Amino acid sequence: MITEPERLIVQTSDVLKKTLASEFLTKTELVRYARVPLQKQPDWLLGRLVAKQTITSALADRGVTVTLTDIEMYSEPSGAPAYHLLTKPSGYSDNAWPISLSHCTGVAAACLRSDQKPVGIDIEQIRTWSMETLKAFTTPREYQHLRTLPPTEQNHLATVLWTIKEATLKALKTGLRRHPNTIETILDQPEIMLYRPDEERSAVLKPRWLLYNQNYIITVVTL
Amino acid sequence: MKSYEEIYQEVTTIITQKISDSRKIQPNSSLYELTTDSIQLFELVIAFERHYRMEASYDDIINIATVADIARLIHTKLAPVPIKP
Repeated sequence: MITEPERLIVQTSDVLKKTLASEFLTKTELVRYARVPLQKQPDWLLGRLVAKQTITSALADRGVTVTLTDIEMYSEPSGAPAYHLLTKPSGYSDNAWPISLSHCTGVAAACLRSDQKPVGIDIEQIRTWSMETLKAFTTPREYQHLRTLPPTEQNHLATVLWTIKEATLKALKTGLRRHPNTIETILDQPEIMLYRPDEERSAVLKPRWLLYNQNYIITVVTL
Repeated sequence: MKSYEEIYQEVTTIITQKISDSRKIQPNSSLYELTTDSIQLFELVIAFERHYRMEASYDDIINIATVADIARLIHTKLAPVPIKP
């Protein structure tokens, strides 16, 4: 009996050295893949693979066997990932479980929620941030705090904040169409986050993040 | 008043300052195609917002499809409003 509602899988691009696109993409997906800008193709491919592995793994735990090509990934009009089950296992329908995926320079991660709650995931490499960008994506309170930190800590925390915001925007299915500075993290209790209190959808959330391979931050947010 | 062509040139200059390869920029290129990741996309949008502070907000730009559409939006916003007799 599987009780955990969440499944997270992370893969690096090494897996693509031994896996052909045609082994896990459907014909429709292969057509879409060909239209992806060339420089984005490796990460796009890795993202689809890890999303499909997450779905097959969750189904396998429930005794349902599907292959990677039994699943067809597509994007909703909002840009959020969604999937069709081409072979319909009894009791499981398309998009039965919310899924989110993210990729960044050779690493991809996907997260699935079997309790139906919207989920967002983001992965970013820890980078050197310009003060201009920091000021633009943070709230005044977050920015004030970041400015007090030495550069290494500042870059680390700024990357965590960005991933929290982007993962939240994915769970809300707006992506960057909604400005990241409309979400605020309470920094003295960094595991708690809320929307601006003047907003109707004000809510307290618990993002969770992990450091991966020493220089990537992976964050998951559930609404 | 600036022509559409002048504004299009300004828009491509801003993109070139943010991304390295200006040869990729075409009128029908999307900001998504031109940027490598979400952070670069965000940085590009705020660069436009800063440059065209009076004409276009973050929300205006992030929802625009192509480079030509951005130039068209700015050109329209800059156009003088006719005065009714």
